[in-house]
Amino acid sequence: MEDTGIIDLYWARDERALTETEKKYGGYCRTISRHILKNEQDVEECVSDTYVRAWNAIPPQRPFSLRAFLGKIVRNLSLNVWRAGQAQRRGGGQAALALEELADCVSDGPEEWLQASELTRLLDRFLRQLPQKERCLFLRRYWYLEPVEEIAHRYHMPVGSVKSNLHRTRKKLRKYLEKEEIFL
Amino acid sequence: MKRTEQLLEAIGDVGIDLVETAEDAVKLGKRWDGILAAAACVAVLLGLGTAAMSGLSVQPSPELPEVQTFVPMDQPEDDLGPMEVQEKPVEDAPEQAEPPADLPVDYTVFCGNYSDTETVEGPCYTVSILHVEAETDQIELQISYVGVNASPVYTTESIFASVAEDHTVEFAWEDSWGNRGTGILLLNPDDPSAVQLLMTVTEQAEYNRATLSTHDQYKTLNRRQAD
Repeated sequence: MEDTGIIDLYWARDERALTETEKKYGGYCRTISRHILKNEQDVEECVSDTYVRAWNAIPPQRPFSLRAFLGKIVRNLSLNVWRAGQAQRRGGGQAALALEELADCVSDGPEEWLQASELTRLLDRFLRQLPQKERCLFLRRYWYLEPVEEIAHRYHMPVGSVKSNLHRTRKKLRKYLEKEEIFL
Repeated sequence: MKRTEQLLEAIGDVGIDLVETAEDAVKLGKRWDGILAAAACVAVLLGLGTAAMSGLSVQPSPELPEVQTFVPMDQPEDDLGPMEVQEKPVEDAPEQAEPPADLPVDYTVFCGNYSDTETVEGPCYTVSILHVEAETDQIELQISYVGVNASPVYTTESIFASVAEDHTVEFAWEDSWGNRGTGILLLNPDDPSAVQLLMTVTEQAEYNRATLSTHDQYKTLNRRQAD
């Protein structure tokens, strides 16, 4: 079923919306969640919660892209579960690795840094300035939290090239934030 | 929350359009290169078809023995570049006499691009019929699907198949993402302005959805106006 049809089902409060969402995007949501969480039960709970969040959000929302809309929800939910799991020492996965890598861009400090909305605005602008290929690699790694090997497979690139490309982009991001006079 | 965590969280809130294009946009350039190359081939083939239908003289090119150059009988060669030949509409061809009933169907008239929409931004299905061997009815075609805002793009390699007596073309395909399936293309010899396409997925690639599927329905694709 086309996305517009699924969204119409949400708007009609027809529960087939959930079935169709699971049919079309269940695998997609699980893939994102599995990049972050190792526990399959946590993954299933995040995916189920994603459908509940979508059910509660549509209407009034009518997402431009249902796929990205669901992806964003499942990513955030999975990161929340991952953080809670971190506290209980059952974390791991790509989120931990991604955080290590992102230390290239910022230095950790105890103080409050930036407002989340301001940081998002800067990142959005930074990504739009990047060449398409670099932007895609960056988003696959840090939005989808895909392992580098998976990204290399997806784009038919050697793993080393993906790593060096990401490294360059992280350095660019650091320079960009410095230029924007963000205290690093 | 640590700064790196803040950063990771903020990345999750960047524009959805950025995320959507990251789905597979890196391959876009390569895909369009292929499609444009295919379109160039189609242009040459259409030129052949147009010239043949218009009763134009055909002169073989010494460099490319299989590709021919067309020159209208009443126009000097220098005045007519290949694009002009390509753009000459088929409808302008003079009336042709009805072929005798016992002659085989000429499927070469189907060479060209067929889509369910004229927009290049998508979403649209496109069948490019690249070549038809008139004597054997062997057909070469390529199928692509372009999603909203030109992403995602799924393209098959060239598919070689035969046109059956009932004017159907059955084939197996594999797209650029590794999805596989079968397809049926229906050609109506009385109406080369449209074709019908049924695409079925039999094997889905690990990381991708198989949007080349037409979901158990024939899609009617019309010859693109640009052709």
